[in-house]
Amino acid sequence: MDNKNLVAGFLWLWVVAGMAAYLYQFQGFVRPILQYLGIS
Amino acid sequence: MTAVAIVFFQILACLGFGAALLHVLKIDTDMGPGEYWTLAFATGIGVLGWLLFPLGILGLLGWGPLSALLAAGAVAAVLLRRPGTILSPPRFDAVGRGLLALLVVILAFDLMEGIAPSADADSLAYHFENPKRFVDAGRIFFIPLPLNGAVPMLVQMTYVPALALGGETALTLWAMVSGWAAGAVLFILCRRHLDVNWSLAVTLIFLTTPAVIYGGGAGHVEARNTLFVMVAAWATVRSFETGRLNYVFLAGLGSGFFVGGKYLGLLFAAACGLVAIFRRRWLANGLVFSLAVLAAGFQWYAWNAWHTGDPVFPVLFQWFGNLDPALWTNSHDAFFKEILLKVENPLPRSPLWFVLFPFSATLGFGYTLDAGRVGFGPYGLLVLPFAAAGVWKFRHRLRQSPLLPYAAVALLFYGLWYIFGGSQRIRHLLPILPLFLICVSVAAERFARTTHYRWALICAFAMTLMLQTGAHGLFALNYAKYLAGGSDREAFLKRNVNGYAAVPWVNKNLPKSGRLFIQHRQLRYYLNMPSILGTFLQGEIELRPEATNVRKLHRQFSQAGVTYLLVVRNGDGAAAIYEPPLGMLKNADCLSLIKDFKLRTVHSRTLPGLISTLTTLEVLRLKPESCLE
Repeated sequence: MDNKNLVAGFLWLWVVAGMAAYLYQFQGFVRPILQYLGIS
Repeated sequence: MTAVAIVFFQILACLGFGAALLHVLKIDTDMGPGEYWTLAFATGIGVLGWLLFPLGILGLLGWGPLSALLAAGAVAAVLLRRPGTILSPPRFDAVGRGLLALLVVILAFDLMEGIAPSADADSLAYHFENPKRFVDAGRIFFIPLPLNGAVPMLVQMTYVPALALGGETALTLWAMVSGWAAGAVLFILCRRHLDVNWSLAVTLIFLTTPAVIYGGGAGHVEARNTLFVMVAAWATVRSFETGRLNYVFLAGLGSGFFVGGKYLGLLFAAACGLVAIFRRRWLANGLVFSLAVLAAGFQWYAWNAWHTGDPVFPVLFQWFGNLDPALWTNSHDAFFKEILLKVENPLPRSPLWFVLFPFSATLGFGYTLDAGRVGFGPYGLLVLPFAAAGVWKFRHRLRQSPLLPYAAVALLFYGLWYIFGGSQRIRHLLPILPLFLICVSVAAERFARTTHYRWALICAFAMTLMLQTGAHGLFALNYAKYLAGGSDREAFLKRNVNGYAAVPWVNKNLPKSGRLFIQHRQLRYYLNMPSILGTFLQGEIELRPEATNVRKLHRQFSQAGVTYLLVVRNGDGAAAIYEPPLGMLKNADCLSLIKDFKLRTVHSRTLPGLISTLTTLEVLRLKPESCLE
């Protein structure tokens, strides 16, 4: 794996992991959102 | 229709005032068409807020003078350059058209909020309430409340004509339009550095930022202060490019309007001023900048100093304060500051937390005040490595970059805010968010433009937009329900404003000659009778249990003119029936129950199911002092 692929891999990982980490704080919102939308 | 017409009238007036100012400064011919129209509107809002202060002092906030003021602005609009001859709309490809469609959806969400009654607590407590009281009185008067009343109100003054001439719907529509203006200015500033698609994407990221969704369409001043920040930052860059003092003056005016809109504007003026004088002719630049800041922003500080002795009440009250002791004492002042420091500043002011704060506020670790739902979203975090790599890759060009002043102003303001700011709520940083967005987006785009890292960056943009647009849609659903349900105002307000269920009864049954003691500040806007806040924000009635006794408490209630109380009755398991020290009055049999309301307390308007508790509100009558014998 060359440097460019390594950097690209890191950036993709950062984006996906960053979004997951951001969303984690809202875990308690899932049920109220589903309730509000009438899905649960 | 009147409301819509008045909002258009006010838009035209702001464009006219801005055009006149840019014309006087002789920089209007030096601007691109997009910059000209958007920055004219932004500066026009500042000019309108500024002009309304002397009108308010003179007691000229009636229909006639306000109409004449807007008409004067509308007449000045003849100075505007004609769009047909100078504007060439950008061409949009398929992606651009998709982003435009998304923009239309987002504006539709905002419009639903704009035509509904206001339900935001801060707006109902003072952003909209103070202008309403000024309109009722036909003049401005001093409101001896820290944070809510004795504050710079340049932005809130722009709500006065809309409310006085067009009513409540014009007020909320004006909030919507002035919030959108921030997006328009941001788009134009982005266009200097990014193509149309990236500029649109950054604008959409901004308009759907949780803090913008929360405050942009409400009365919060932050979204409108972003306009003044962008004017100041843009003019600073132009002053570097041209060396003209006119731009330094405009940068000072932009900073001064922010100073007139919020105390934090003082920190911004310091940050922007430092950057503006950094290059050549620092003395001349500094003098011109300071003069403009003073001219644009001094009035509310003079107003505060006149009434309290403290221009930044209550920050310097212990040294300069001379307010009537019946309203605010030194001991209450010390107590208020202690509480404020503790509640509003949970994180230590250390170098470590200075660096960690943005991550803490984004990811929700540490104790950050309402940062998740009213924060800045994930965008900054996701593009961080792209932006950092861009800065590194083009480090040799940094000193010449036109974005360096934006970055310097934003960073300096953040540093000053973290050290001296009164509250660690991240939404108070919203005014500099556009500068941050431009800098990181341009750096990230430059880095990824020519490499195969581009798709990861596009993914970061797309995920942020999807998430934030979804959240915006969820927020707007509440307003869609209101419109779909036949615009039932009472039902909407009962659903969204804590304690509102008591308001119609109070307005119908209690005499307007009395004064109501309330614990829910958001009720003030909808109450028809005078009220006093039962919180530590006021010092008329000492609410510290250790600072009072029942006789003193009763005397203070009577002196404040309180005849009735609307208070929360604690549940069965609570230590006291009412919040202390009100229980003392109850135990002394000085309160008689008139009416009670069982209602559901809503902690989130967007997600009612998030936290919701049953509570009881009681209307109590304060008996005469003989109850203590």
